[in-house]
Amino acid sequence: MTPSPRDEEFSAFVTGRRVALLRTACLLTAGDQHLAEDLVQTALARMYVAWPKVRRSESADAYARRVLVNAYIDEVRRPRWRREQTVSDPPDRPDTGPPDGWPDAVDGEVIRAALAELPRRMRAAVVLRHWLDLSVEETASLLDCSEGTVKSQTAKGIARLRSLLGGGAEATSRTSRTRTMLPAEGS
Amino acid sequence: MNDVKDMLAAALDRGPDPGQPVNPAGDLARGRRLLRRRRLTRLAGAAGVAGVAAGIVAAVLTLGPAGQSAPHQPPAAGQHTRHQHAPPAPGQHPARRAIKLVSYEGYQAPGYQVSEVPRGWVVQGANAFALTVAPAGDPDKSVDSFTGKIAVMLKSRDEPAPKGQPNLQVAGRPGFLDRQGDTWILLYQDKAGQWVDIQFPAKLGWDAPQFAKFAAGVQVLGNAQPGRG
Repeated sequence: MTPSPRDEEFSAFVTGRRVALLRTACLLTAGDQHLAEDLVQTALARMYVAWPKVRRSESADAYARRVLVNAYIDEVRRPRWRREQTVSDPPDRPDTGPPDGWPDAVDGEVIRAALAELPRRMRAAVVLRHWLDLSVEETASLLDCSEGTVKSQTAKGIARLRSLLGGGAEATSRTSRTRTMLPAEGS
Repeated sequence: MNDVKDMLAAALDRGPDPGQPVNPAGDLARGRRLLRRRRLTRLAGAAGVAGVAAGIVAAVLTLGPAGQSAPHQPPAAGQHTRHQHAPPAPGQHPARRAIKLVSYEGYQAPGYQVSEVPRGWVVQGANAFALTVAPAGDPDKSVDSFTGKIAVMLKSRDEPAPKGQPNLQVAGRPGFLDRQGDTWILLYQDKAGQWVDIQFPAKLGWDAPQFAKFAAGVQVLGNAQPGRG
């Protein structure tokens, strides 16, 4: 069967961008690779259907991000599929060692566990702002909330991660002396 | 370097690897299946042969004088550009017969108000996601089928708000008119601030002011919902 222009364009997009989408989805799902794969498959299938609109859009990457985030929000809204469960006590965590520059001091498993502790929209705000480097305005548009909510959710999310990863305020001040400062709220 | 980004990168230590090869075949197959399902749903009841024939006639009628259908330009990943087809100006539309727009006082579907329709057309019905306007007596009564009809819906949740320079005004508000094959798509912001997406069959033979005039007479009320994709 001769591939249509839609097929060719879509295949080129998937080849170039699928892994990046999957990595973003892994962060949104706090490391649940099966759910991340489901989300990317859902998002890409929707994009194929909407390909004429993707062509009309200014950026296929931006379109893909929007579809992926919508798929993520839809997925976690479904109670029967919800991966995160409320528990009475927080899970035990391995000792992360001295809180000196927390991103380097802890391994991926611990970071994923900490990400999983964040409410899903807070996690999404952190990922969109700091992994994808989206602006507050773009993040608010994707999450369908106000810019103020994005700022507060991002700041609270980072503070919560610091706390969970053993950094806390002390680590924050230590880190800021030796490494790039975390962006201030709203930057 | 943002140290939050370093931390997030460390959370991806178990993959996926940025350099891993990608075979798009699976996604292509899933996309095709979903598209087929959507089309089966939307086109249920549409007359196949008659629809194809009407499409061919419409394409012939609306093809520009020099046959200037815009060829597809495969977009580079991340570098998509809005395809701006210039809306036909008054008196310059290549179609020989434009269906006149007339005031409408017939049946109104819940959730929508339409004040003008093409002559001989009626409001067919609506569901939570779309309203269809079709020729009176159209055998395809399904409001999920848009072939050869005018379809009014809210902008898909997956579609970002359009950027760039509007090429049309709908009652003084920005609109973007674009052609996709045998369909004109008008995306505009209504007075309530919501983005409305209207799809017109090219066989109407309308020019830009007629598309805008029809849209200006449409009201999408509170119970309409945006779709997906």
